[in-house]
Amino acid sequence: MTPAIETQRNPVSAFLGGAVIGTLGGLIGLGGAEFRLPLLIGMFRFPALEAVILNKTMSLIVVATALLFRSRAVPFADVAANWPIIVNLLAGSLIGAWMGAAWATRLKSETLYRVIATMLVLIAIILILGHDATVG
Amino acid sequence: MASLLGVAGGELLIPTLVLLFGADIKLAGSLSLAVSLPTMLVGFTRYTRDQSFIVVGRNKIFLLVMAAGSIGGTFIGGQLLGLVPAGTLLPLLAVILLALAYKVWQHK
Repeated sequence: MTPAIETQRNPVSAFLGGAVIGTLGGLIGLGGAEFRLPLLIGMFRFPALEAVILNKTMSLIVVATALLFRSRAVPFADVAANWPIIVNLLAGSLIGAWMGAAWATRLKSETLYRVIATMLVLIAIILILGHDATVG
Repeated sequence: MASLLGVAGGELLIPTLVLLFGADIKLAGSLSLAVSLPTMLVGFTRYTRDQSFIVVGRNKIFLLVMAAGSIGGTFIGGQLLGLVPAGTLLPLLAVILLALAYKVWQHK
């Protein structure tokens, strides 16, 4: 590890980076992971797979707390009342999560960068489409 | 698919919830988190089997500090939830994502 990378990964920039990402994530109800991942790669210079794994670990912590904070704006009762939707989506997502993780660990680093970039674009498109749908 | 990125999949879940289940955007946000949490645990478990997982131990402080920053930010975001209209939020985030996608694609 070079000295340059050491300074780039100092706790202050890690905290600030996390704070900005968390704010974005908290606003929209995401863990902020999709913003954190490119930051881990671009700014903190982690290799693709390591960035993905670090990102995952942080997301776990962040999502758990985000759910708590959002309970002010959206009460737990409202979330719990919609349990059939939650179960419905979980059925597919749990299987997908396992397969996706298995696939990522086998990919070449270069390929993984491309996959990540492509998916970020897809996410952006989906956000815009979702927005149009809600506005009407 | 979401696990591949190490993301929660919330960005896909929210539109699904809004479009298919007719959930309000704010409720959709919370519901997506409720679905994300178990999903991420599963992906996480799979990653613990990989060699690259030692990166977590090696960067423990970095990880905890950034997570703490994220949590602080999430709190701020949660507080702003009632103030910022969702209509301006999503296009803004989409633009940020496109810029980030370009950066990652360029990465060697």
